[in-house]
Amino acid sequence: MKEKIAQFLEPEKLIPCGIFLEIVGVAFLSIGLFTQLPWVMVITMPAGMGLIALGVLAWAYNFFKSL
Amino acid sequence: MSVGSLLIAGAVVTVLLLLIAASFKGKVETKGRKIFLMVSMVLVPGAWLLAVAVHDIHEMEKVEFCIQCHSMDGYYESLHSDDEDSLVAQHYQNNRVPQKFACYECHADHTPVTGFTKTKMKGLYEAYLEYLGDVEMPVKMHKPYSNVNCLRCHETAKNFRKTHEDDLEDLVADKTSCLECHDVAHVLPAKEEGAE
Repeated sequence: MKEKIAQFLEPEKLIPCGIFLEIVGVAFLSIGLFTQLPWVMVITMPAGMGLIALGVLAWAYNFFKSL
Repeated sequence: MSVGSLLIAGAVVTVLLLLIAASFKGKVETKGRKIFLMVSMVLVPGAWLLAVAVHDIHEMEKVEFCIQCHSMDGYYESLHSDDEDSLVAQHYQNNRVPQKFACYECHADHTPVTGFTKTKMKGLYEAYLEYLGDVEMPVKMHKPYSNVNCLRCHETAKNFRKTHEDDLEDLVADKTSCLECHDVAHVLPAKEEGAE
């Protein structure tokens, strides 16, 4: 299990995963932006922001590890 | 070009940059790629996210946003009431509050720093009630209407101070509600009458 986590935290997997999360986050926020419906925005705003934050975290982990 | 269209264009640019970054396949050893990765994964999405958040929050303050909940239908109609005693109709129709943001102006908590968060949390709870909970008609306020929102505009008005001289202290201290005398806030259609 530890090995699998260590493998996942390598830049070859972590960065594409972070990028994927950010793309999904951008898509979520765009849906909210496009519809402007309260029930849509209640879901898409926190979800989109959270996914983008996770992507940034992935980048930050990789960046500080490489220092 | 509207702000919404610009933000959608921003989303396309953000995704394109992310796709280019994805083509590195984790090989970020060169300085140029490291900088590109920072720009495409942090700076551009961060700036876009901030712009979307500011735009969405601004849009959420508009009357059109509030009235998307069906329980607000009667309250929207009350803005256009011909009743001269109706506080909201008088304020709305005579531009005493910005017409686009009428609901927010009178119902949001305008306390610096904490007010914004409280208003958003209350809005989230109201959205939950509308879609997943049970809204009892006529709608009742969570707590009595605070004078603060009235006094925000009226307190310093010369005419107001003159006519409310005797009660001013109690009004400011919220001991006497403005609605005790000005008791017709929303004039609702007959089916919803009795609401606050």
